[in-house]
Amino acid sequence: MQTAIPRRSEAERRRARRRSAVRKYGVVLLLLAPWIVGFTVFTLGPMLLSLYWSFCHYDMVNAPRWIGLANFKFMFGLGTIEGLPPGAHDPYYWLSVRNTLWIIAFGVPLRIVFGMLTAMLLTRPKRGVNAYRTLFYAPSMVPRVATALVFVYLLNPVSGPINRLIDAIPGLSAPLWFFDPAWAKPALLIMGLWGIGDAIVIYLAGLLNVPRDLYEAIAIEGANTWQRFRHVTLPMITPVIFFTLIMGIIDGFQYFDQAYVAGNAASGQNAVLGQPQGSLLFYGLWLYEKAFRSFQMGYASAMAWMLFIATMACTVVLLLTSRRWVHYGGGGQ
Amino acid sequence: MTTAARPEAGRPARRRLPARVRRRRFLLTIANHAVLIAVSLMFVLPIVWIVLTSLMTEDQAMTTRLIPDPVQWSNFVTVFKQIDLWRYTWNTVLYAGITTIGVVVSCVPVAYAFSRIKWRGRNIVFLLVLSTLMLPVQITTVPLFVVWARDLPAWTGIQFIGTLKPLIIPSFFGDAFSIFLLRQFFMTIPDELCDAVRVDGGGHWQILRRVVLPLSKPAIMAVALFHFIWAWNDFYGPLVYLGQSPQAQTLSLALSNFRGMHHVQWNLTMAATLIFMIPVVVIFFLAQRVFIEGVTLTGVKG
Amino acid sequence: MKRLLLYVGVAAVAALALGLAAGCGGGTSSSPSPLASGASHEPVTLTVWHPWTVKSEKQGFATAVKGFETQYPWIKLNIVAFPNSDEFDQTLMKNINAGTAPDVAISFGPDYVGKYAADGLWQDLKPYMEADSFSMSEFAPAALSYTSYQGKQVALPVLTDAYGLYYNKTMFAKAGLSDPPKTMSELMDYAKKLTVRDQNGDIKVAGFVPLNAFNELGPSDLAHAWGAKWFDENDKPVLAGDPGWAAALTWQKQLVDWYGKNAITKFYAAWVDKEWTPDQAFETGHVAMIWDGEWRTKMIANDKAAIDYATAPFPAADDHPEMYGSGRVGGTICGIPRGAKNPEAAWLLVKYMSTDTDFLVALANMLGNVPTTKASAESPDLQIPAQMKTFIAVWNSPGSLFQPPLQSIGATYADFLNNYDDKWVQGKGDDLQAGLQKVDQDIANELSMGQAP
Repeated sequence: MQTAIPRRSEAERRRARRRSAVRKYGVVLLLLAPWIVGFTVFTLGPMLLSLYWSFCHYDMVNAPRWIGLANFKFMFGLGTIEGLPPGAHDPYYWLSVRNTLWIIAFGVPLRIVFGMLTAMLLTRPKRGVNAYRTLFYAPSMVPRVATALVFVYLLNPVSGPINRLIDAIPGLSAPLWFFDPAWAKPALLIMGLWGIGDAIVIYLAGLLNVPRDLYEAIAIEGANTWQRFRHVTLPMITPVIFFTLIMGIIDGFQYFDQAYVAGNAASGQNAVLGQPQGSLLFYGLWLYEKAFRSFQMGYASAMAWMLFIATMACTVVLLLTSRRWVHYGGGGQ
Repeated sequence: MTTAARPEAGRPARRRLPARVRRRRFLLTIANHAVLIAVSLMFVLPIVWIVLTSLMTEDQAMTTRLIPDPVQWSNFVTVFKQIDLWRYTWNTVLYAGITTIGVVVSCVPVAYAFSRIKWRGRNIVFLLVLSTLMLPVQITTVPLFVVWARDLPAWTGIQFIGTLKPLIIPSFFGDAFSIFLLRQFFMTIPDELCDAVRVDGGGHWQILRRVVLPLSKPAIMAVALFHFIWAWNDFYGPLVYLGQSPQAQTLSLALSNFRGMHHVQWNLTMAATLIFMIPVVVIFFLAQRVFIEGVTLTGVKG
Repeated sequence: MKRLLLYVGVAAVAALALGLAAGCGGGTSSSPSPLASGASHEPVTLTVWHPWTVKSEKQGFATAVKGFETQYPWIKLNIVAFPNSDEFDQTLMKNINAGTAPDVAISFGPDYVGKYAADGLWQDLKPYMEADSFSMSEFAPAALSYTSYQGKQVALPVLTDAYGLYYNKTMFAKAGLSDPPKTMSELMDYAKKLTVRDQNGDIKVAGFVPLNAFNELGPSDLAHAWGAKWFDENDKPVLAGDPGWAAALTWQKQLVDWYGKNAITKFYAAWVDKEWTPDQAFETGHVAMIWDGEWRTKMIANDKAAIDYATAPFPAADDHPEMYGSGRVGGTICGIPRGAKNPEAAWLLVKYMSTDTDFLVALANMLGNVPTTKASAESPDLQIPAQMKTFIAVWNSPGSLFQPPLQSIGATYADFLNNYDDKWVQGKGDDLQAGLQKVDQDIANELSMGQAP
């Protein structure tokens, strides 16, 4: 005889499901706890505080004083600020923006192109790849402070080895590098090239991941080197290019260490104003000067938020347009 | 029964390539290596110059002579006497070491939650984690500095600025990049292994302990190494929170401070740079493969 | 999921509230209690911060200041040396705000005295001075220009720097010159006469390098020769209004153009980093005349530089002979930060360091700085080269002062002028007036944006 098994009511089943869901989310919360606390206390909280300060005059000694949009007006030279003539603006803000955009516009493509080219060189040889790879990667491990000091020394216009080499070639006159506003940023680019080892490694991994059969297929159709590159290699490494592009831009916006050290050491002074003649005044440097030397924390907070908005805008644009040119071959998210 | 074929017949017949093709390939290889060597030289020469300068006397450091003469090995000793280099090295070790432990300990559970448990909103929250990577450090530094400098001491009576505490404490609360790396790796762990533990009646803790952690050693190593080196090289954090505190300085700060009263003593600075660089380069040489695998975890799969 | 969002939301609001409470906490300035007569002699430890980094100087200071502990045996000194003098003031301010300030701070430069006074970061010493019958007449009138701001005397000088002209007597004799130049046109003439070029046209020996930041020279030092002022009575910048600035910058550019911009920049690049080494340009006979501070006499003696040199006040403008004999002064100062735990004892140390003859003489002998009191300047124990007399005279000259003038926002505003000067000398030389007006505007804006409420 069949014993009747009491059927669970709909409500009971729902309750059971909810209990297991609660247990699951409880576990998730527990696991995520460190990050949640950290995010709230060390990221979100300060962000909101900094947002509040960007509308205040705050010099860390007296309490923050609400001044509305004055900081932003000063930044952009729009509107009138009480106590200042109309159109009064920060003379170095746009200089720092231009310098930062310059280093991104030149530094990031250089990194991508040279990283890719060098990595392609490394795909051919059968022996010694590890040695080369280590050699290229090691300089990118050198602390940025040290790199800056080293290149200030190497690029000294009179006693530095590089200029002595250039001067030895008749007909060439070496530029004054960190003492010439037109050559200071290119000097930083040279410095940056020394540290592309990590990009090389990433590109190498990406290149080696390109499936062999694609190359064989196109070889059968009789493609030459350029066509192989254009139709197989390039599309397959677009995820890598995308990654280095985004990280390069994000890092570029925050460029600080090298410019701080180079600007100081080269001219022997301690002014942070991006010697020579403001050519090395990057956004991060000017922000640091405003926050920690002029103690204008309110204005510095306003600058920080503009930086954030700019970074987010660039990243979002890149992300949205990426669908069109980035090929996620296998396993991409 | 058929006779076994002659042994040689089992091997595919190898045609010798025509001499012309072989020569061309050989020349290409040479050319390739030549370019590689030239590029390597450009990467290595600055280091050679650092080493040479670190052995010069101060007068010679700014002159045009390349070979140190006399060779002043004592520079490396002077560097330790001129500034408190042992203490700064120890501070840097503390900073890099403790924060690495903090990052690993706090990021593993978080990455696990993002990869091995399915829950609604998982992707959105993960995107939030990733978005913090885009946050300029300056936006949080200014307020955090004030809180560490004034408010927390007022509430707790403990001093934070001028010590390593503001740098170390946040590392125990997760780090977006490490979470990202670990999550990518955890996602590649086969479901069957985890299911096996669940069938045995184990919960998440057992899965973590018996399956995920043992399998993830390379990824955890990579995360630890990346973070250690990042902290070792960090400049901005120490600059803001340690300032010029004589006791708590780290090597990166000390290096940028490395001047006599107003000028740069290049020979000593290069010696100090070498001392600063060497631990990092040594670690890299020893753990190359871990690094490179860690790097590929980030970039290749996007 | 919803609960997760709820938790995060609550935490965020809590963080915001926390942050607002934090941000709203302002500073309070404490008024110092005047020195009570018959103060107790309970044992006290004073924390003293100083920025001397060179080992010999650190030891020298510690030795010289032992006299204080002998005079006041119940006070012990905890001396803390800083690894880098460049960020001393910023670090000090951060610590004052964090409540961890020392009892006595010694700073190399008075750049931030304006801020210390305006924001109450260093204590006003007047009550202590009155209780002790101590007056600023102990020092030359120039001292007031960098130790007091808006009526608050927040610092006292500990020796000082003074700037003037060094010239190479051998090179002078070879060029048929005997006396140092007294006017700016003489300076330019002599500079041209004394310059030697090599066969490539590069400068081998420069008569005088007029570039900003070469060996401490700044455009404001040149303008001082014309008696130019930074601010008028209403504290408005007058770089465009005061004709001395245009005259000085024109003079400067004339000399730079005569050298050739590229040539002088190359020379600058070769020598600017050697300023504090025995290879300094003047000491090695590569510059005939140089603007420098009094410490160079000591360095020349220590480095045993093989030059026969003399010193004189920096020239004055042709039409401002009354400026001759004065120059830039100002240097090391000491004061009592807000929140010092033992202000009365700290005052004793401040008074000692600024006026005690033995201490000042010992320090002057070690550092080669200008002794700031009459007693120390005339002390028989003072071992200074004969060339130092010029600088003592400059210090006592009534026209001498500290540059740039103290402001509550510190001294970073001077960078506007310095940056403009760099561009001006390298540029085509058009529209100096407009450029100076822009500098004025930028300084005015900076002052407005930075004023305390």
